[in-house]
Amino acid sequence: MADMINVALPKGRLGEKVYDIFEKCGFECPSIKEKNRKLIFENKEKGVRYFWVKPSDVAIYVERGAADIGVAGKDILLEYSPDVYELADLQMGKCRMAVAGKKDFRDDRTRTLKVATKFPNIARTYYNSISREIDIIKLNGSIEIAPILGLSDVIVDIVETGKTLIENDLKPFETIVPISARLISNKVSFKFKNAQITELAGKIAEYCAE
Amino acid sequence: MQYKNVKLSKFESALFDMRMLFEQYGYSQYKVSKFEQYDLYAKNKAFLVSDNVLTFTDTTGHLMALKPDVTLSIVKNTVREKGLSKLYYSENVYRTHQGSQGFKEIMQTGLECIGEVDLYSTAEVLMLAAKSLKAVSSDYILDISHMGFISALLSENVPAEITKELLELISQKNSAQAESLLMEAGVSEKVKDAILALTSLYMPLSEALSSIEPLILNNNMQVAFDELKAIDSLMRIYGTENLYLDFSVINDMRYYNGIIFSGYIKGISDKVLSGGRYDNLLKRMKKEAGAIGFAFYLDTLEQLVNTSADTSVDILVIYDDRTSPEKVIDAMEKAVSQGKTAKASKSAENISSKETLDLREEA
Repeated sequence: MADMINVALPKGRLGEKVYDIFEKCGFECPSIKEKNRKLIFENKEKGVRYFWVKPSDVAIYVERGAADIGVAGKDILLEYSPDVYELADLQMGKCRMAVAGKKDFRDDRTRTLKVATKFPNIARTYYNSISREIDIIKLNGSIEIAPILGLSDVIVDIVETGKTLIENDLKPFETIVPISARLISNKVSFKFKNAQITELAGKIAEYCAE
Repeated sequence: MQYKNVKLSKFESALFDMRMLFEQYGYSQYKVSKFEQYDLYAKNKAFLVSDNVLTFTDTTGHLMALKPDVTLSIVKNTVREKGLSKLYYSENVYRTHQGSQGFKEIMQTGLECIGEVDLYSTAEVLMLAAKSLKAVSSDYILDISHMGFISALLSENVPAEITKELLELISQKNSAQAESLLMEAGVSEKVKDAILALTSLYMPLSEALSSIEPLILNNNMQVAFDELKAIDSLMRIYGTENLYLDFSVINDMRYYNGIIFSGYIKGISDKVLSGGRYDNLLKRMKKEAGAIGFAFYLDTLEQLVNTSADTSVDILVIYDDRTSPEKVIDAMEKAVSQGKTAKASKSAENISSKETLDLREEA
């Protein structure tokens, strides 16, 4: 019997949608739908074991080999640049990384720009690429409040519909990069469990491309 | 000398196996000092695994570094002899570990072949790399790639400004994004398809050759392909197994050219071995010669399960305050002279032994 494939799924709505895709591709694990507090679910027949982890931790589980494959947002992959293979774009969880600020904000290039964000690396890379001097303020949540209170000039954050921004009198300006969920694989697992991972990734990529 | 009573850890036995292997093939040990002038690393930062270097100022005011790498020192110090210098080392290096802050002392062993590198020596180094992995576990994989093949393909009108991003995507096997990058850059269909085929390729070396042959577009690619093919047939003579062709193994083109490779062992989530042909480094150091070598990261073996050393002894001698020391010496020496391992202790807790000799007189 071949080795089990360990799959790290992001907790929450996106993770559930991702599981549905795995299920449709023939890697179902019925016990996962039961309402309980278990964290690990396996289907020995299909050779898969799923577990729920915090979305921002998926890449860590995969990079360190605790999970063979996982699903993580491109935002996390860009921010932490884990050493993993990126095998497929799931075309879901689509949103964009954007710069937003107060509606009447005008960039004054004579001053250092204050940027509040959960993604300091993405923000730094972006502003370096346009040679803009910035001061990064790392926040962990409720980023939208920063420009309102004058903590920062702009924010760099994920924008899905833009509704939160509008309700807070903010406006998205430039888009830095489009974001979607990606199937990632541990580099060493990819080699030792190559047949299984390639098959799984192929089916999922095919399903998502439709 | 016999070491029958010393229980070697996986780590030590792998190290001794490798040293024996290297010496059998005529590689001589090369000792380097722990320190090196920082300048050497400042000039070649991109060659290092991580660009953090531990530095200090020595008594003469020079900025020194604790070695983060051995190859640079060996290359700098080998005066080129005629023919080929074959050297190996096992040294501690100091650098940060990927994804974690703070410096670590890392035990590293490896070999370098510097001078007139030919097909035979390339094959020999690859075979030794595979055997080094096998010394640890037969569940190993050696991935091979060819920088010459990729750079010749990229010379087919792939804009220079996307090269860096493209190589990054190839190393992530990210075909979807590589495709859109190549389309945006207006790369021709033929070149694009070849690059995408290489990105997703992962096959045993012998099988892979036939699937990359149709991708050859120019003479340099043909040269690189011929080298891979020759290597493949030599590896078959050696009987080396588990070789895969994988172009996601990518190293800095400023230093590496030709064959490059990485080794993996089941159960270890990091790369355990890394090496390749680095003529370009020698060129940068104004030396006209070829060089190929590899490093084995022994610290990664910690991740293997069941590697904890066996701490049990043959005879446990238990004594207390009223036992005369002479009696303990007598018992211990007797055991040791019989070639057994023995431990004198006042309590039997946390010690496992085959036999127990109780010399306690109290109670």
